[in-house]
Amino acid sequence: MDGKELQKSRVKLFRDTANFVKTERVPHFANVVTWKVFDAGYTLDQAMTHFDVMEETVTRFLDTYPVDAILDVGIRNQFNVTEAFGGEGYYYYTPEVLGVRDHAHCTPDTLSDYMDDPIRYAWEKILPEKYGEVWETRDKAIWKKTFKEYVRYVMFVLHMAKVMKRYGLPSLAPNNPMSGTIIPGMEILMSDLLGIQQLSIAMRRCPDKLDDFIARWEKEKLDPVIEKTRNAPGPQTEKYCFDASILMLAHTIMNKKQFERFYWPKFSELLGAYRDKQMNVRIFAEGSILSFADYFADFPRGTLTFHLEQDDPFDFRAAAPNAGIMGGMTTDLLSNGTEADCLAYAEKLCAELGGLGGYIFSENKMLSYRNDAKRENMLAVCRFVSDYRL
Amino acid sequence: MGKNPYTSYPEGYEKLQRDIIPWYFKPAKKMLMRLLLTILTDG
Repeated sequence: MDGKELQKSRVKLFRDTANFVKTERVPHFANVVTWKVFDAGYTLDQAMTHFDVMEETVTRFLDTYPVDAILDVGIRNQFNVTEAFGGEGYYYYTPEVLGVRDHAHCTPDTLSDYMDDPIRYAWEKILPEKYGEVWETRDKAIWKKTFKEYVRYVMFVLHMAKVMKRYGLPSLAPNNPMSGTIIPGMEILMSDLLGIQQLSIAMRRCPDKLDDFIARWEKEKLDPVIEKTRNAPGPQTEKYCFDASILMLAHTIMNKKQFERFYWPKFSELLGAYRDKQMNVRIFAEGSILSFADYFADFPRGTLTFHLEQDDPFDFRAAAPNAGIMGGMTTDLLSNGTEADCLAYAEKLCAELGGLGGYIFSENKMLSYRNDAKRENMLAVCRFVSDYRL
Repeated sequence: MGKNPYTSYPEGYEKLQRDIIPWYFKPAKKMLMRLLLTILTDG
């Protein structure tokens, strides 16, 4: 099969699996990020801003490990742009670690300023605070250099899309760095605008301010997605494994009452729009989602596939039998177990969950650090899943 | 604030677009600036 045919057959495999249609084998979605840099013999500082090296780490991974799709093709971080601009960023890397410093762009009192004009707010508040004195010293030459690096990054994104096509790897879902992601209000509050600490307190101290922000954010950001979905002809099965990919993390700091107030109303409407069109949604549920499983129990088979991070997939299957599952293979086992341990668990996952349908093999955490997996374990598992027949 | 011609809004922000975005990107300048802002704010 050439790249295009392979891509098409893999999309069908993912879609059929998500829809609980019987398939010949279990697809493997590689939840691999920067681990592949170490595996290719580099450190992060040698790869993050060197696109030729980054591409090499991706292709070496794909040449070595038989997988059906991969989370990151080396395009998730734009350090070449921020380094051209200068100053300190919230994201940082060392030779061994890529991390993000805790940050909050707003307080509960300034959320409305942000929503009134996000660009003005970024220009007058976020950037001066983030860059400090550096902000005032950026001249035309530095801005031009920054823009040039930004274009170089965009070209790399487009180039890697062609590489993926050559390898026959499908795209996960039609939301990528170029077109924006689907972000519920509580998620943007937690990740960027308020941070965990302020948000946790605000839910109790000034919930009305959160209500106001969430209503405005979701009207602007989620309502158009819902409208577009309602008018869509159906699933986009030509190119993508799923019709949407959404990250959930904020539920980890909420109780059910808070979830029902701040998260669920618009989120259920969004998921309902996908359900009505028989579309497939992947939800990357960071932390544990098990205690919220009952909210998703009424969705028919095919609508939702949960990529589980901390939950036991067998427990989750029992709690939400209609939901597809992605994940299961723990980084703990990949890094600390023996090859035999890994293969035994991979077989259990494929036989017991794969046998029931709605199961996509994947790693439970984004493989990021050198010690997230032993090479021999990863290789054995990838080969096993690729050869396993249902 | 200081004398930097780009740090005011909207005047400086608009001048910056005129100064750094090549003519062939002009039709997409709003989107390009939004994405650039997202990157610079680590959003």
